[in-house]
Amino acid sequence: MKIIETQIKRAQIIDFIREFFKQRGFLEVQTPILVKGMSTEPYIDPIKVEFFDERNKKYQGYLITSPEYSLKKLLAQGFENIFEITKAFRQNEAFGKLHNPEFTILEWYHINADYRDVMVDTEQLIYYVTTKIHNQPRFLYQGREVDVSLPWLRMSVKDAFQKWAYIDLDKKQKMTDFNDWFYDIFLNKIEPHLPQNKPIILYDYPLPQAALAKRKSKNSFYAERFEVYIAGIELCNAFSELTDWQEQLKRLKEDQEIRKKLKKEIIPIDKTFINALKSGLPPVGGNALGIDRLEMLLLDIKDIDDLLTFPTNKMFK
Amino acid sequence: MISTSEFEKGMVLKIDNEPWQIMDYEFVHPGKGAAFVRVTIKNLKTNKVLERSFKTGERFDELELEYRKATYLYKDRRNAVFSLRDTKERVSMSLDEVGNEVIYLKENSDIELIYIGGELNGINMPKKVSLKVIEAPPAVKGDTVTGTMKTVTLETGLKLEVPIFIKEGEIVLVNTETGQYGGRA
Repeated sequence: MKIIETQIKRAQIIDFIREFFKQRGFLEVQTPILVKGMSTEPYIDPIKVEFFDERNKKYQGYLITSPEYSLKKLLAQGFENIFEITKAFRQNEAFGKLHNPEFTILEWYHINADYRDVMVDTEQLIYYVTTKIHNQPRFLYQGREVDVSLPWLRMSVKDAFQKWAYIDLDKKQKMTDFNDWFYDIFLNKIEPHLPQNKPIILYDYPLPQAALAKRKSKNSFYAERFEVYIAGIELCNAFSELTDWQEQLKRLKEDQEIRKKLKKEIIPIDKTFINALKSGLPPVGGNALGIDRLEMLLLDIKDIDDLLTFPTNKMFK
Repeated sequence: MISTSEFEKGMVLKIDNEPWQIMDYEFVHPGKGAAFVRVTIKNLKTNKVLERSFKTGERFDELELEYRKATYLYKDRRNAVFSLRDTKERVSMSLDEVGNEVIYLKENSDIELIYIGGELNGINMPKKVSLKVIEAPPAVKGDTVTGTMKTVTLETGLKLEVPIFIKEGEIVLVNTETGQYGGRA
């Protein structure tokens, strides 16, 4: 596709996403990209920035890795259903076909709802945008037809491990380095089996895989998180949001311990985020969706460098 | 030892005691665990291609991949015999391993041998070879239906299906991957 045509289609996709949420009464908000406090997730590295005021006083901050903290702070202030389309940044990642250090992220929060409601939001959103762009709920990606008709296939992570790797996840709860083990199995045994011709919702991730998600029940090994894969591409990551500030603080501290072990920079815990949770959040489900990846799927583009106007890769390398 | 961060296309690694060549690789960042590198690798013994993901930082023995110029001399009942261009050393490979490939080779033709980790591993076969037809049944008069094929014998002894217009003495191209006729040379 020619560059102009690609950019026209990208603009339409964004328009249809906005249309979808506005029709459902979601408010579009704008939150900062430059922030003082940042998520402490051990395996996501923010880009640190410093800047100066007129007296040459130095300030340090970060570019967001996602707008999650700010959006939850708004929820704590009484905002109801909200969404945001913004830029986010991550570093220490390879410039691969699906990765650019700067990317466009869609996040929405659906109050008085949980991850099952967000599953429905997600499949309806993708169905809506796909039929608007292609006049049918199907499109061709890399020579294969992908059908996003509703409802989508749903499978728990536990069932996926049982079905494709013959592993009972319940028996792996005590494992050290659980996350490394999990991905080894996931990438080698599960991902190759995910359907290429339709979306799949994988839900209920083991707790170590879900730092910001609500536990299924008090002592459950699983949390209410789901991901969507379309044509093998990971598109989004959603939860029933953890709203218990004490549990959240505990998990953020655990994150910091892992960062310490990995000899990574310790990112201070954002106290205003914890205070926001303290002041009370309604039950809420949220989703973070990679818009660039959705655009790549809908426009049949294999390499993110062919989607972006000025890929970071080409500017810096 | 080679770490995942040093991976390059074309590199040959010893994985589960077999030589695997990296065809492609990409880093995967799951966001909730250490990064992985997903590689497409080809087994240089069986030519099997598959995808695998390794944790970043995992280390592998690298096998040196070398192409050495050689001349194919002849085959006997068991072996195909080659002479290395630089050292004039004679080396042989059993027909069990390369029998399907030497059938495309003319005696005294120049080829490349693949050495992995210093050991002779196989022939770097060109995708197409040109061979002379030494025996061809004449086309039956009036049989002009397009697509009709006949079997001819080539100078290496290989029997090949070719279109009926091919005559004795002509040079034809053979695709060594499919074993099929690939046009007139």
